[in-house]
Amino acid sequence: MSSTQEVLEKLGCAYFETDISGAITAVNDTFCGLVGSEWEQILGKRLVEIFRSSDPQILEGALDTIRDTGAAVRNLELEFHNRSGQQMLLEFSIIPDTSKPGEGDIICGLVREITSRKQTLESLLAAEHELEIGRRIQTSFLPSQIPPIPGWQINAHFEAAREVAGDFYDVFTLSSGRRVGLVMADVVDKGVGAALFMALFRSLIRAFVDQHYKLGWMDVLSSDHSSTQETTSVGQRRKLLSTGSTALQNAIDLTNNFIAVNHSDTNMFATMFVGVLDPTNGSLMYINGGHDPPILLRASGPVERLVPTGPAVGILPDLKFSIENTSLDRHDTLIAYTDGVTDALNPAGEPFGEERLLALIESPSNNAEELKDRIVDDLHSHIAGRSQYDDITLFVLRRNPIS
Amino acid sequence: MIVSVHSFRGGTGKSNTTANTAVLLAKSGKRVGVVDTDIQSPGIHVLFGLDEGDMNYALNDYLWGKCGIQEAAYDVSPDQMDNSDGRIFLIPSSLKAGEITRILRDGYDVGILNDGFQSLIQSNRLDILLIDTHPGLNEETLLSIAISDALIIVLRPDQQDYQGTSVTVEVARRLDVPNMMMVINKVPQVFDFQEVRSHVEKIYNCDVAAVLPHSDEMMTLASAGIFVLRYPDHDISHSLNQVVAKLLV
Amino acid sequence: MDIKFIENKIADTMAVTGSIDALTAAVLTDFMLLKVGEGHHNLIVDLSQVEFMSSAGLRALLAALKECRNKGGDLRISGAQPGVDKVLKMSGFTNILKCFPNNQEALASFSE
Repeated sequence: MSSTQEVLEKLGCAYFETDISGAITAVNDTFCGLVGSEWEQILGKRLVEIFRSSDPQILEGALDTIRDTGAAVRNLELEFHNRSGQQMLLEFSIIPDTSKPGEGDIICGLVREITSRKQTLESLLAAEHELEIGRRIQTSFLPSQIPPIPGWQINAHFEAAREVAGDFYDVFTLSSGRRVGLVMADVVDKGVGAALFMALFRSLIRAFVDQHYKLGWMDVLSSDHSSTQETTSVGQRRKLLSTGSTALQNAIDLTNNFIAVNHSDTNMFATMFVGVLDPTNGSLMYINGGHDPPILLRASGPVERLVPTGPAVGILPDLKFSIENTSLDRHDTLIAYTDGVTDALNPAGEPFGEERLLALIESPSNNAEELKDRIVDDLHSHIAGRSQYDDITLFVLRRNPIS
Repeated sequence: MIVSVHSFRGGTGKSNTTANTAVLLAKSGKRVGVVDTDIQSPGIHVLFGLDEGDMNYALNDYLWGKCGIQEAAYDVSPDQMDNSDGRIFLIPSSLKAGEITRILRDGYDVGILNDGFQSLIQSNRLDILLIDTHPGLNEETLLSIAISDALIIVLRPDQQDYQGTSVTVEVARRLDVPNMMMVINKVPQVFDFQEVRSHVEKIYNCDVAAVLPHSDEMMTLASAGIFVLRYPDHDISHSLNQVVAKLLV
Repeated sequence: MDIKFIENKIADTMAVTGSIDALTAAVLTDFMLLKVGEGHHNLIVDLSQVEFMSSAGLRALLAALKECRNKGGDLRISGAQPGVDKVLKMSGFTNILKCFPNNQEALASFSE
């Protein structure tokens, strides 16, 4: 069996012994190699002389602790320049050794170089920190509480992917409280970049929804191109110009142009569904900018999809987004979601899929919360712990049955 | 039916035209609504004898969600019409400086205005809604022209009015307003009325419903009341009946 | 993911094989921008061998599209499979760039 010293050498551990004052009495070859000197130059020198550092107290203090209390010192980190000028990080483990009676108290220890291990750890922490920042940004831009809507139930679910992916939803009032705005959106890209753009999109929509000055479809009057006009009839215009329609048109048109013009270089855009609900009668006007069609489940059973009425938002300036209208009767349900739901993979790599989502929605539920929970639970059992690439976001809106 | 009464410039006598037309319509048995959308410079309520003090709610309050549109509507039907079917309901705009500046500063959703009109027409069973607009082109005037079945453009035989009016006419044409007509007002007695009429019809390729003379009686009345009630046999009153006829065609 | 670059006087073709997702889109973007920078302003992106494309792929196409158009050229799509075509349609990309069923038609469109 090899001696302890042979084992230490083989393991690449630098070993040393000092007397009680801290002067080195023995070293192994690995130690000499680490320090970059021959043992004749090392013996007799004090530990703190060999390992000169910006803070000599670190080593000296450790030795004091050992001398005074007899306790071991482990995992002591020290920055060190060896003789060839190499900067490294060392880790010391030092103990008093009273095993050899008659030779006086000695101190012995191991030194290990941990530079690369430390760097990896630091960069991992930095990456995790960045993800954490991304997640915090994202959370701060989601509604902390959904405002209650009399006569309606609304429940939402949001689950961030490991790497922030830029989904968001929003609920707010507009037109002096007469209407409720609903947003379900998905910003392309991942990471802190997506989180920042998600914050930007969300803020722009909220800000522009209050801008009343622009009658989007009236632009045709100021243009010189009379060939592109589709003149609407009086009846159509009366329908188009109802409470919330200019707010909705502005929110999308202005946000689209802002992003497409001011952030053109990033090529960022978002798919989004923005709806304006009249809670007193269930009428819903909406613009779907390239987003997965929300599901409208009628109380009587049929399912309708609110398909895209325009492209994703932020691609190019002045693209056309149209407003469509529908309405929710009593007990009708609207389910909006992002593709993180339908694309969620199980450990075998199979997606959750639209059919499965539709099947869950079509079977009866007592209220919006129950339906939301049912979807989320089934989604989780499908995912079975597999790490998700995309955020999972959805909301369920239901008009109360006649009470 | 929704009728907008518009002028490109101020001082054409638009509000007077609106008020008098409303009364003539009511006299013929119609239920008429009048909305003063001239939020910056309200005034038509004076013609109907509605005092600021009588106004609990105005259009401004409705726009801010403080009341329903019906609560801002006042029955200003003249006494002479008590036994007829016709009625006039007025929605005034507020005269309080703070409320005017607030709306100008914050703006409002024009859709709320449109919804209000529809709601009022239904609740008060209106046959006609007259919209008295602010002069020139802005959000409200564009909106009202866009949703109107008929547009009455009031102008004076004055070069500035002629120029400005062509802008309004172009907007209305692009929006394909079904029934558009001009009313030429405050025409000096020395002008050849027929010539003025043909001249205007030619420039805008649009019917002139009435050519109204500049009148001392009108100036003396000074918006203290309704002209057609005071002077039912005056030329002006007869001419305004032609406007009513063109609307009800 | 693999990209083959086929030169042609009228328009150059980029034949892509594999999946275009968040991991591979960056490579595609860099390659396309490189080629545009070298003077290839008329590009056809042949997606017939692409079974899957995520929104990251849309971003790559958008970046190259803008560059091509800024330089007076254009980027067009050929051979998009049903799954990829669905992504292009829903996001509205089929309204901002021209898509063709095959390379021949795409190439011919540049001659018009």
